Amino acid sequence: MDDNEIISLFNSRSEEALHEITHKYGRLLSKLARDITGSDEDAAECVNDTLLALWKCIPPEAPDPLLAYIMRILRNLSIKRFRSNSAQKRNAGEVLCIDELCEVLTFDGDETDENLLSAVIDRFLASLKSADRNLFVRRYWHNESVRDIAFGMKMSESAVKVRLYRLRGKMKTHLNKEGFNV
Amino acid sequence: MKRENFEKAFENISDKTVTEAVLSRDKKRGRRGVLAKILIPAAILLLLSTVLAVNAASPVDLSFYISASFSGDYTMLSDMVSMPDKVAYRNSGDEVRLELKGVMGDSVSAVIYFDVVVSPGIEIPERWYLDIDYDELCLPWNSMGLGGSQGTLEHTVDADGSNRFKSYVRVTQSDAIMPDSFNMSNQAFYITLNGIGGWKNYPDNPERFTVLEGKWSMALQLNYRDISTAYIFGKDYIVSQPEFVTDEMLVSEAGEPITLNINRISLSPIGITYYFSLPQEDVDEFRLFNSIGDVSGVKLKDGRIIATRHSIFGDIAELNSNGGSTSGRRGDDGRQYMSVNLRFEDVIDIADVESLLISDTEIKLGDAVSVEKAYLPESGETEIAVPDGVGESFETDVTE
Repeated sequence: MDDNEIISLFNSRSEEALHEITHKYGRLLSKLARDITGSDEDAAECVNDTLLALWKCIPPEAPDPLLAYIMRILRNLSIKRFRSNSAQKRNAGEVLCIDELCEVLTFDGDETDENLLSAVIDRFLASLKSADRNLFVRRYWHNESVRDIAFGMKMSESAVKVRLYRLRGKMKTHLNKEGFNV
Repeated sequence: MKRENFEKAFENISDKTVTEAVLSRDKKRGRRGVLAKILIPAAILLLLSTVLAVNAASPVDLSFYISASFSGDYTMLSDMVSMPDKVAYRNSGDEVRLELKGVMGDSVSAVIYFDVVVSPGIEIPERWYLDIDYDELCLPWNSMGLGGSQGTLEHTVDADGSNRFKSYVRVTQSDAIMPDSFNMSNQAFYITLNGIGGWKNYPDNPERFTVLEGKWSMALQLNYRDISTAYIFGKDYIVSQPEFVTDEMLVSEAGEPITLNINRISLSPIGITYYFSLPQEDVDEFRLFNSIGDVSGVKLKDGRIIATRHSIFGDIAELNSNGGSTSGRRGDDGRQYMSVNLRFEDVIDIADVESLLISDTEIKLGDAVSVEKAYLPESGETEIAVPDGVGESFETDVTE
């Protein structure tokens, strides 16, 4: 079933919509949630919470593309869960991949226009070769482990780390060129 | 800037980027099982398992160094297995040896052939892999990245009962395809191997594990003649963009057919490079990647169709720019100029090729307006810039 048909099911308030999402994207969503939370149990709860959020938001929302919309919700919920677990010291010192990215940046505490910054980041990502872009996004947006990325992209772990290191540096340079003092 | 601003901004990157990364992930994984079955070289793995057995008690530095050059005019594999005296490495116990056979290639790729010979009586485990550091696999003078793959062509048994595995390592330009300005042949280069690993829970939930940590370094000169032929077209071809399955969950929708102006096709026994342009508004790299890359091949004169494949390391089939005299990818005419390189699983004889297939479009080689032989670099010895540490154990490790 394509995404438009799933949206139609939501619009007609058919619970079949949730079944279709689970069928179509369930494994993918579980993987993303697990990559962030580090726990199967937490991941399952985040996926369920995401489905609930979708049920509440569609309609009036009619997201296109649907997958990205779902993943944004799931990512937010999973990160919140991770942060909550960290606050309760349940994560055994684990950090999110975004922390690795933030380490190379300098934050001065001034407010920044997030929309503008987001557009600049998009331009940076668009300037990369698709393989590098996917590598970067998989690590820092999808929170995928170096090991999994290496496995999926048939690279050695050290190769992934080296490439990510270079890409982090490129991003910092790009942001500085665009006027963000990081 | 506040960190929260950055995190929020990063969270809001475009839907396209987020989705592309997801699709790429599942696509790569979709390939993995098939490619692993086809390409993971049992012979190399077996060799390494044997090395492991030999060295299990006390892991040692297994570095070795190959210094060899080749000048053969290779057109087919049979021409390449004729250098039996090129023993590159032999361990002290004589249980395993690596015999370098030859190298061939075109401007984009080179294939290094060698035999792995395992003495009788060595137990052969099932799934092992050689951890080649492809990111460090490069030309010493140039940071250009290379992709790579490895495989086994044939398994035979010698008269003395030794298992012989005809194997290869393929190296490919991955960051750019610029045959006009750079050619892989006659370059010095080196490979670094970071150890030996294995797979468990294969194929349902495969996980890698380290078998032996070591370091192998190999440096050699790719002293071969580029054997590709360029067919000049300058014609429009309408290419469909079918849906593609990334896995059972993610199926793309079909795209509109696009018109590619194919300028040139470079064909060699190991791969094809297409050079084409298209209107800027029609460019959807990810879809092109799949439409051209996943559904392509060659049709032989006897009717057989040989599929081309992406590099298992991904980069080879990325759509790369080849703007020629233009700046970047965009030509002065506003069109997007691109190239894509695809490889054959095995070596083929290009004299047998009748036409090329992209998606459901057939391109007959006879329709080319002209044919050009490949760029032929001057042959000759090139001094190899061996990295620090490489070759230190060469004198003691090699017994021949």
